[in-house]
Amino acid sequence: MKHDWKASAERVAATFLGQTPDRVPVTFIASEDIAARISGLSIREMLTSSKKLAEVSIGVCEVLGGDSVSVVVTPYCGPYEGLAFAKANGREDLFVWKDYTTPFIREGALCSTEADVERLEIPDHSKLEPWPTILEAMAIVQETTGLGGGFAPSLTWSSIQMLRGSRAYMDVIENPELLLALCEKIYASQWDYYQAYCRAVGRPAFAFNCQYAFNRTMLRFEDAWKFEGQFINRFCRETGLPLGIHNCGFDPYWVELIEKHRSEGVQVIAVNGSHPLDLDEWVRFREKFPEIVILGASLFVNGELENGTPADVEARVRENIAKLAPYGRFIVTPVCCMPWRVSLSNIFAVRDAVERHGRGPFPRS
Amino acid sequence: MAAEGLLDRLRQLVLELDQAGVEATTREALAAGLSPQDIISKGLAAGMELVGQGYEEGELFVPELMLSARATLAALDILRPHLAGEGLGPSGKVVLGTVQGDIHDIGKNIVGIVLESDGFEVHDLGGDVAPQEFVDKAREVGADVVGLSALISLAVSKMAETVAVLRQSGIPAKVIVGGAALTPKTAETIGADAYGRDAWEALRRVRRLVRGELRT
Repeated sequence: MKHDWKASAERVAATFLGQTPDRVPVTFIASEDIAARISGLSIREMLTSSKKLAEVSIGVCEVLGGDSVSVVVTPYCGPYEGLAFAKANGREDLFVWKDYTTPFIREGALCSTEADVERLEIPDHSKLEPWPTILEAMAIVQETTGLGGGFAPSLTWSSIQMLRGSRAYMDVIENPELLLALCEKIYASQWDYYQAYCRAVGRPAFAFNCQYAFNRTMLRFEDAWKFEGQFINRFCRETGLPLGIHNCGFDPYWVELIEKHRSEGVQVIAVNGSHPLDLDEWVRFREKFPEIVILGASLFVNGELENGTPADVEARVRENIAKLAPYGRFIVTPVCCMPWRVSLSNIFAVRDAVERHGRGPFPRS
Repeated sequence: MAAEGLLDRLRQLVLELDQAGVEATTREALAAGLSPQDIISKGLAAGMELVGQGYEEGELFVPELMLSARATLAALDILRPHLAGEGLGPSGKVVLGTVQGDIHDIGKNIVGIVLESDGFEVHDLGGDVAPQEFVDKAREVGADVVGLSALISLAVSKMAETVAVLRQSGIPAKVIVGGAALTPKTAETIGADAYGRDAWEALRRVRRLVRGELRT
């Protein structure tokens, strides 16, 4: 049976508007790994044409049964941003393709010296493959399903790590000007990507950004803002887009980050994360930020999904729904990408649990 | 300056990430007749402990951890020629690498520099390392610990295979694993001896593994 994308769209829209959907929506972050498992195609085969990529993407999302659809490349497209930089700078050899999992550039190789950063060329996303294929596939998926609308730039820490490697952490203290110069180049590249996206797909409804630097185990908040937060904030102000934030780290600065974006004039409409694992923390988050959609929350792909049984997964989903659905603006989403080690039966258990337990009314305890 | 004053200053300079100061004070301490052993244990290592404590308490972060480790490493380079006569060997030998199928090495690099700064002899095999390469290097250097890193989930299966190959080979080294694709539960499932959530925890666990105190 074909997926009812219209019903999914209405469900998600109602959730974002703070209305009561017919059931709690469920979404999956469908990336290369899960797409390869379901389609049987290698990543490079998927990327041979926009039509094929779109077909695989829709097919995978139909199999998963979520209420969203996206092109099955890593959501923020960081890896392909690495490829674009590598190609633009004549170093495609630094990119390591994998057949059945996300390919990546060798970390830190492209910008190992200050001179590398200075002469780094900005890629043209409308010309350098696989970007034209990905962008066209995004347009096909949106036209076919009526779903879409989010633009996911790679600003900036994920790109910094790809380009500068572990040196970037020392640059934070030793060479902040160099790191900021790299951030500006990444910003310019993402602006090019945004323009290419608008031409191919249309103006997005929101920006969805990975704020990886904002983890207490990595950087102090001020540095994370300096080298990452301020750039997506600037992007949102320049485009007028609201912001959804992804962070699958172990100890995110959620509250501080949202308040900072707000104080700098950007509306945060959604958060997508797995941590904290304590659901009561998410209930407190919900009480503090009632208007922000939670896509998550405590459904860690390396927790029950990887190590439990379908019954464990169902119990965890049910607990998430029981604690967060009563407040609305909640979407069940395993975070982050689906690893190969998660069995398909556990993935399907998420969808089935939402179907079983996700219809209201939900009394507040 | 009295010995204790020099060691105090060394600890403080490590904490302040002042590599030039650490190097200069290390030379000064040697010239003043302090033993390399005291300079390391009461100055450099004690300074790194302060940094680690700050990291655990959320006051210091990865940049401080890396820069203090680098400063300490520079001092160890100065001390190395003086260590031979004292019969001081490394804290232990560690073979590190990102497992086959994965090329991410930032986390592994951070762990490597922190381990080295603690006196471990680190043999970094880089990324995308086949199981047999870990075995061969561990055998060649007589490793006490093998550290396996993985960021992408697909590589966890290869990590499990690497642990199994190390066990089958009869290599006595303990195995510690870490990386974004790992949890303590996964580490246990694949038969590792320890799991390191971050670089500082990895150091603490490696120390305990070498002392024979830890088994997952």
